[in-house]
Amino acid sequence: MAGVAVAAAMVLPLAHLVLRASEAADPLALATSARAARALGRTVALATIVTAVATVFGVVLAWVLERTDVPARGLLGVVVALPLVIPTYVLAVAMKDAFGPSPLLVELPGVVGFRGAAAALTLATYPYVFLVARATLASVDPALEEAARSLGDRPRRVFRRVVLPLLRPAAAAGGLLVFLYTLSDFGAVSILRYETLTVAVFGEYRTSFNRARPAVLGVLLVATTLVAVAVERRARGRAAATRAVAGTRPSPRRGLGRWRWPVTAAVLAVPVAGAGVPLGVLVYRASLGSGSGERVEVLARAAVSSVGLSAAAAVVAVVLAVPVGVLVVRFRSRFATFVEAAATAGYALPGLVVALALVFFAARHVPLVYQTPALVVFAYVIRFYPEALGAARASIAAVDPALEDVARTLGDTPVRALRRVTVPLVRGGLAAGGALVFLTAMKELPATLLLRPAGMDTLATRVWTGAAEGFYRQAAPAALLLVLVSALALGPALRLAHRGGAE
Amino acid sequence: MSTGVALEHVAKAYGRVAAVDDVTLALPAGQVTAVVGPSGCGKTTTLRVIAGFERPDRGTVRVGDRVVAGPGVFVPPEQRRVGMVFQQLALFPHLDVAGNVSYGLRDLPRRERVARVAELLDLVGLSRMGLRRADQLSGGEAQRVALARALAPRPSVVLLDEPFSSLDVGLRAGLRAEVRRILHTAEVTTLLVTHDQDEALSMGDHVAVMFTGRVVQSGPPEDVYRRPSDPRVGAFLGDANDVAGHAAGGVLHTELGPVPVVGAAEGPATALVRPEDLDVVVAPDGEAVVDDVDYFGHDQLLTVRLASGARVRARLHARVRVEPGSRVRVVPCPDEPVVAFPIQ
Repeated sequence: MAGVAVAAAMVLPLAHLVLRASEAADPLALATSARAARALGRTVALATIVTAVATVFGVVLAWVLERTDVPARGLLGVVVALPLVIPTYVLAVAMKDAFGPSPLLVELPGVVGFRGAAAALTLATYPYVFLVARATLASVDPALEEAARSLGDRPRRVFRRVVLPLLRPAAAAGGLLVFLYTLSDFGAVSILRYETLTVAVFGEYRTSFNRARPAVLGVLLVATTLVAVAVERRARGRAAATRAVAGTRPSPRRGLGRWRWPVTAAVLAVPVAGAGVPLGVLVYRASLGSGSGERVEVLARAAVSSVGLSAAAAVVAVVLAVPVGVLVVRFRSRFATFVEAAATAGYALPGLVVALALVFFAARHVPLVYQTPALVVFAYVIRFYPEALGAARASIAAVDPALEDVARTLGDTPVRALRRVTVPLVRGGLAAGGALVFLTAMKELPATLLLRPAGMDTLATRVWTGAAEGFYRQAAPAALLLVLVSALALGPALRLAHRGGAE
Repeated sequence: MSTGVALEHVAKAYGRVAAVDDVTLALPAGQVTAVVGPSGCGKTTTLRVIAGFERPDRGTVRVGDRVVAGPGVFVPPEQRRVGMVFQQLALFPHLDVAGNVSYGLRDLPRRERVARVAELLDLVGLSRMGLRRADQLSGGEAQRVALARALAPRPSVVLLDEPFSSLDVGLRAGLRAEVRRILHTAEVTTLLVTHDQDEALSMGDHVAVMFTGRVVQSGPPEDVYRRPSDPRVGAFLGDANDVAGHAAGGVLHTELGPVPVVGAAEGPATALVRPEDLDVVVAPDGEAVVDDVDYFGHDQLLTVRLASGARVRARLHARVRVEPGSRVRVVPCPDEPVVAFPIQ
């Protein structure tokens, strides 16, 4: 039952969006109009270049950290992943403030436009590839690379013939994440004035009373997403599942010699550009503004809204994840697979599309929730439910069902066995999943912009509206606070990522 | 075409721990040498030194006439022509069977490469498996692919690192014979590293026993088994009774009666008596009592308590009916003198 409800909640709004799009006088003409075509072309161009560069960055950084003797690898690994806590629109705000027109530091050409958007998104997304590639490299049996050497390959050739092919599935998976992220990004591209599909959807929604026009563009965006997923399926190649071999020696590392410190500096330069510089700019900007700066109570109210909405979404997502997790892990069936697929679909959907679908759906069918915080929470749950489900799934799968059987033979009813044995064992994993949902919901921008009740501000919307209107003094403190709260939630979320990697 | 390998006074330490202390060992050309020892004795490090994955701190390694590691010399693994079969096999998961076997044949023209792969797959009995993926192979098949891959570039030496440890016990015996056949067909100098004494004795033309970073004894399997140079070697290679007595004129006088010995000249000594060198006769007036019977079907292993309270193990036919509590006589019956060590 719970499974059906969750799946339905995920799928219904999207179906509604397609319905609305089909109501347009001539949906095909709309989808192929000059504006749509231009936005689509820009979206694909941006996503392609960002994916290519971020994948190279991620793979190279992962290789350096896993296979060379750079110093302080543990700390360096954390630092390299740091841009993950910086939302793209925060990065964009800082870039525009520091290097855009009338700059805080120095004007660089092209910061507003394609180059700026590509740089911001690349710096924000390479950690996805980095983390996946690094986990893969760490789990590869070192004997594979040794076998290649004993068969006559020089180290460089081993990299090309063994390491790269082994990394291919990881690079494809990480690359897909980057591609989807770029497709769905709204904050950075809107702040840096590069009209991709999301910006076009938002513009149509704001300026036209015709609901069909944004709906058609939204469907176009979803279609692009589906194509990207299909392409990745192909690119992953034969699933070269590398079995982690327990208890083997660690992989040999290459001595960098006199290149050790220059390489370390180059590695550090990437997160410095992606996290260090923007944070520095924001701190500097925030310290400048006192008179016309952000009023404390406005900031506080926005922070409370952000935390409240995100926490509610985290709790709802985790509560809904438990029954579906049990269904998927313990009762493997075609139905369970379908529920899981439906529940996971929201992840691939751009937040703006989910929000648009919910706006239309609620306005027409459930006016009671239209323009309420509940609808925002619902949108977060649709978007980020898979994070909670993944955590629930992993932790439930890690519990041996025989443990519950033991409890049964000792006199527990099934429900009591679940409560006394399984729930305590999965509690940590669920909490981590909740933290992950909280973290991503805090950063969510487009759905919040569309769905928030009139007059309600979150930290994310404060940053965006401030940046859109050039009020950097408004944007900077909200951005800093957002990063701070996100960083606090990151600890539990990372623990989850570790556990996920161990399986 | 195959060449021998010689290690002279090789040492390798990790930090302050000496993994290999001082190893001198010769691998005769075209034969299988099995290095056996308990885990942590340095046997795998020795193998990795020969392969070129570890750089020795001291000593010299020669492959044929060529010094591959020594003072001021270190040849990287890819230039040594040393093939290796890894403990976990390490088949490339992104390549099929033929791709794995042809990996080291990069420099051959395509036609020769295809022919060589076919030849190798035929040798290991997997002719039809070329297009299989590594994860579609059974344990034994994967094992043979790993061996074919190592042999394909015609290495001068092949190193096998615990090659059967990942297999079910039932599969091992058959595969051992198969691998021995393949290695002898290929006439390649082989070093096999194992902690399993049965594997060492059955696979090796020569056996070298290692303890704590040193080779304690090496020679043909029968010699090492029958005439251990050291009580630890005797105890490690199979079951053995330490029977104490007094040696005089090539005979050790023991509680079991006289035992012909070599080794200890005169005075107090211990003989290393294998369970199969003891005969057990059921006798109501016997002074020894059967403590325990391990029945294996084809034979049985008895634990017998002697009049003095000492216990010995004896192997005898399953036809003889004994049970715990039976009174017996234990009679030494070695085919040849056994090794005795003087008691210090």
